[in-house]
Amino acid sequence: MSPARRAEMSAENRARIVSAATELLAEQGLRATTVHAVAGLAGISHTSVGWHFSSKDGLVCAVTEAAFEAVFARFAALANDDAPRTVARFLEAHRDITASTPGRVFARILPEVVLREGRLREIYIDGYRRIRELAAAYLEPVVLASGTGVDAGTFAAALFASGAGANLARGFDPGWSRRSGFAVAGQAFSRMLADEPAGSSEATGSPETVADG
Amino acid sequence: MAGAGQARRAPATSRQLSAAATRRALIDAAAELIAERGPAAASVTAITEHSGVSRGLIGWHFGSKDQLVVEVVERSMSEIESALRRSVANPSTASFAALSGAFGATAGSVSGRVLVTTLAHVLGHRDNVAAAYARGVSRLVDVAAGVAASSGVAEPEAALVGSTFVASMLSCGLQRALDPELGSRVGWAIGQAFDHCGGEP
Repeated sequence: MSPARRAEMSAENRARIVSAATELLAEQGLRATTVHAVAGLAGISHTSVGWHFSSKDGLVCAVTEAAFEAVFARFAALANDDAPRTVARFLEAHRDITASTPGRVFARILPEVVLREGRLREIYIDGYRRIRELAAAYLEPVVLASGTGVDAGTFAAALFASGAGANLARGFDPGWSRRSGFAVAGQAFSRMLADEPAGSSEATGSPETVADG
Repeated sequence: MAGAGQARRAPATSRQLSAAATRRALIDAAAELIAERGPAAASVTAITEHSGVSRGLIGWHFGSKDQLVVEVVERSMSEIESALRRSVANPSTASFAALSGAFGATAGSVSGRVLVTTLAHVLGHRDNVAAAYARGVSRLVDVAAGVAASSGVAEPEAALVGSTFVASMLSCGLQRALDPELGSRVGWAIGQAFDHCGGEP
């Protein structure tokens, strides 16, 4: 086999391992995802997984970093969009992310990560900070224009936590509708910004028109 | 052994403790361990060492370690529920801002931490612990839905607003457990936002 062909196969195997690990982490979480299960799903020997990733921790860190990059890209794309910035549009992007495979990975294993120390936790801390920065940068003009006096960083972090909650609730409430949860959060945060300072009272229409106003 | 150095927990043998006190000592010890590192960290050995109660008494009082974890979850949920109910006991000041303040005030307590550190187990299992957690959350939701209803949200919608608020608070607790730099103002802002779900925007 030529060295070029060998390198190509190696890259293919690595991609298959990452893809299998991503799927298992999103479905079963950190604890239940074993190197054996990853190898089985990827159709690759256990030792080959060890050759690419020296430990489960190394594999999980690689998967998580890639998942965060995909999530950053989605939020960054939102800011580059020409469409007017709104709370509703931000939450729509957040909801799309929670339904995507990278989004499922990072949300699914967060509760396990907070119980641990180490590199994975550091990746998470940095990743969540970056997401909050992207959210604050996107929402800043909307928050400033509202004149509510809350700072964009706090508003964005609260909105992001609320959207993440709308996603999390499926884990302990089987009948939960993620869509409805995101809609409630959108209404609450849109109205908070639409609220004029004390003294003014304005008849407004549906939450959607407030959100897009 | 671990309990011997702590003044508030007397180094008593199991025989010296009444049955009720033993039960309580086991729940306290398990709750503290779970608050640190989740139910998986609360092994029988760790609970035994932390409580100073002999191993066999876990089975005697609870039947199994899982049942002990269930009781820790139930007690933690009840404590948070009481704190939430107290915060909105006065109808003239009942609000999501008050509820989020109560959530924030309990976040550092053993019970508040148990709510966050048990989530990993709850997401991965369909067992009695997960069921106890779900029952507890639905009682917290009842309190929040009551606040929504009293501010003019109609009934099916009020329950949904309550659920989304409680889920937002748990999510906020989780993110703050990850990164203590995330300030308490985030919870405050969630309360402010949900107070806008009422009648007039």
